[in-house]
Amino acid sequence: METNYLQKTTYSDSDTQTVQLLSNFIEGDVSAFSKLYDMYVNLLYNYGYRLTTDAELLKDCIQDVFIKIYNKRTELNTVINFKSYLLISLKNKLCDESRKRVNLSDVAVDELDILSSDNIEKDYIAIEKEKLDSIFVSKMLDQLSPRQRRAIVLYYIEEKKYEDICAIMEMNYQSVRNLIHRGIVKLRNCAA
Amino acid sequence: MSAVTDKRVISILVNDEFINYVMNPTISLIEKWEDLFRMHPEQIPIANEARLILLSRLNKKTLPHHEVLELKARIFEKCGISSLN
Repeated sequence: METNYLQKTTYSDSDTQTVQLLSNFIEGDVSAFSKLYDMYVNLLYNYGYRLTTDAELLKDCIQDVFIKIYNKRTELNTVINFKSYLLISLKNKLCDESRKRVNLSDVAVDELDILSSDNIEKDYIAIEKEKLDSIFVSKMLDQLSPRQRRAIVLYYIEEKKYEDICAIMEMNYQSVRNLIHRGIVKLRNCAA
Repeated sequence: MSAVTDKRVISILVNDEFINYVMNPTISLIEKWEDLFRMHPEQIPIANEARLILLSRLNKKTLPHHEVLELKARIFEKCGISSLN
């Protein structure tokens, strides 16, 4: 029996529209390029916003991504999924720019460390260790179930709103509230 | 502007295979990521948060409309396109 760990992405009308626009753009239709920009500039902005705190750098990189697409439009025939292509292009561009800046200054070293990661399992372990640098907090949180721990970290440490936690954990509002409440009660009992 | 995304979420967000898994999943990508989630179930909420960000379904950030137009004008100018459609 197949287990669905994450809800699968489904294709939408906009995907069909994208394929048509891309085809028109490759054939030289500038208005199709304009529409693709309108459709996807905020997809890129929303994604890039999570990777950098520099709004101007982000806009410059989005600009470079679209210019590259325009100049290399004849090569877009080989692109399997345009949204993936855009997101990966922006991530690579942000990474390149961060590397360049590190060569000039050490300000962005932290950022580069994030963007250069490619071994997902190794990252998980390293970041988990970094997160649990407080032995006390770590031991306290260890008393909780994985879901209680995640909900409490999201609410109290990452300061997420309840509605966001509901979406992330795929739970309803009351269940999230109960989870956090039970976690806090457990932590209080452990600390007593 | 502030990016306060958890580093664990970012580490998945920048993974090309995860982006493809979310946007255009193939059988091999599904198998790879579901194997990983089976071994590390604690990562499922983190991966789900990354998925919602990629799909612009979580706390979506958008450029103000005037900046969308300004950026478009810059791009068109650099590409030598004279009219905005």
